[in-house]
Formats: sequence, C-alpha cells, structure tokens
Amino acid sequence: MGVLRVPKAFVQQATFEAAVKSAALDLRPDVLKIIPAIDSDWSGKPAVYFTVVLTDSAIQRNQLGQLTSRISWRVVQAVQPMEKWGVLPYFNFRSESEQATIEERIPA
Amino acid sequence: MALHDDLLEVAQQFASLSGGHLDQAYLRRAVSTAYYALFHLLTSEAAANWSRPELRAKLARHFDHGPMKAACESRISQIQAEFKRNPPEGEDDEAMIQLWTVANAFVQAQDRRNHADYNVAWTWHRSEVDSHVAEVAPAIQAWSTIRNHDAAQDFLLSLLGAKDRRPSEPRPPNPRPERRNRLTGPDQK
Repeated sequence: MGVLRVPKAFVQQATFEAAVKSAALDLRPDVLKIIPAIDSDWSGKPAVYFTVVLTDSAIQRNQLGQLTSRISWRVVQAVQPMEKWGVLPYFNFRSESEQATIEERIPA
Repeated sequence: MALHDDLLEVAQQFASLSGGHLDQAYLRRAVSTAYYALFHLLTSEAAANWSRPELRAKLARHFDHGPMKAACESRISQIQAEFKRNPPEGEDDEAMIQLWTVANAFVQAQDRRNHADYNVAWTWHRSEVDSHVAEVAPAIQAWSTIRNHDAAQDFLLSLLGAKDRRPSEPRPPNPRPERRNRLTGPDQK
C-alpha cells in the first residue's frame, strides 16, 4: 500500500508561518508583511502563495523587478519552502494601499 | 527589437490601460503576455544554437510549457542545494544567481499566466500585475549576462524536457530490443 506524503507545511502551519514572519522581518523597510497561503499550484503540486506587501514607495521604484527578484531569492533562502516544507513557492507583490483596500472589503 | 522585448512592452502597455470597465481583461492580458516574453526569449535562444537558420522557428515549436517549467523547477532546486552545500564563489556565484533569477521568473510567470488565462475566480490588482510584469525585465537582463555560460546552455537544452543523465549514471542495458523478423516473430498471429 502506498504511503500518503503530506508536505510539512500543511501539518505544521504555525511553525511554517513563524518562519515566514521571521524572514519578512529581515526584509524591512521595503517589506511590511508576507502572507502565506498553502494551496496547490496550477499543475496540482503542493504550493505556497506568498503575498508580499510592499510599502507604496517601494512598489513605485524604477527597479521594481530587481527588488521583487531579490526579495524572492532571500525568502527562498531563509524559509526553504521546497527543501524544508515540501511546497513550491509562488510570489505575489502588492502595495500597502492596495492591500488595505482589499482588507477593507473583507467582512469582519 | 526582438519578439520578447516587444511582448514585454505590450504587457506594460496592457497594464497601463487598466482601470476602466476593461480592467480585468487588460490586467489578464498583461500577465499572460509577460509570460510569453520569457517563453519566446528562451525558446529562441535555444533554437539559435541550431546551425540552419531556416529551421530555427520549427525547432522552437518543439518546446512545451510543462516540460519547460519542470526543467526550471529542477534547476532552481539544484542551484539552491548547491548554495546550501557549497556556495560557488566569484563569477560562478553570480552566474548561478542570474540563472536562478531566469528559472524562477519562468516558473512564477507560467503559474500566473495559467490563472490569468483560465481562472476567472481570481481578481487581479494593478500593483500585483505591475510587479509581475516588472519581474520579467530583470530576468531578460540576467539572461543576457549568462547566455554563453556553460550552465546557461545546459539549462536551455534541459528545457526540451529530455531526461538529464549524469555521466556517472549507469545506462540501461541493451536499450534497443532485439529485432525480430516481422513475419515470424512470436507476436505474429
């Protein structure tokens, strides 16, 4: 009988989130917070979607692509989502003002 | 300008057109087009190695999204493992980070493109899309700095999806089955 392998990120979510929070702290002042959402990616593989909330000034920077690539690299190095937690990392970057608007729309 | 540069410019224009009643349509096209900028960059670079120019476009059509993403994921894992075990130094260190940037941008862009093209439940936001599109430019720039590096050329080849057989890996014995006489072989009835 086959053994069902559940990625560690699914069963130890609190520890995983703490690791993400710690990585976010090292990325201040550009990064305000990183919100992880554990899910499957488009191909069905276990994944984590990181919503990285950037300051409005950071997202208006000319070199935004370089900034987001650097953040992705540093989060992956610090958290090691695939190696330690068994989930493929995906990144979405949002401005703090857009994130605030989205949160306002969510009913309490 | 090359096709990938044009596509990136079109993606930026689509994003800038968002805001009205066509907001979601423009943002989705921006995300999708940004992915195709990377896709065409890599397939054209791989095809450029083919010595007969008239066959390069035909060769580029052999690349498929799934195997390309799998190859990128494999390369990302390989680079991360290398950095953890024995971080490369100097030029190799920089080349590996640039290659990671390209492979990671491709994986990210392809997943977003699938959502942009097919997932109608997903609402796109302007700052998200701006950052997605912006991430493609440094990947194209990163590629231009490493395109002649051995690891980059090996990466291009891997995008075709062929199994990566390492030199130490034993080859399967007798890969071609013994030829049988078509008329008298045991399978004939």
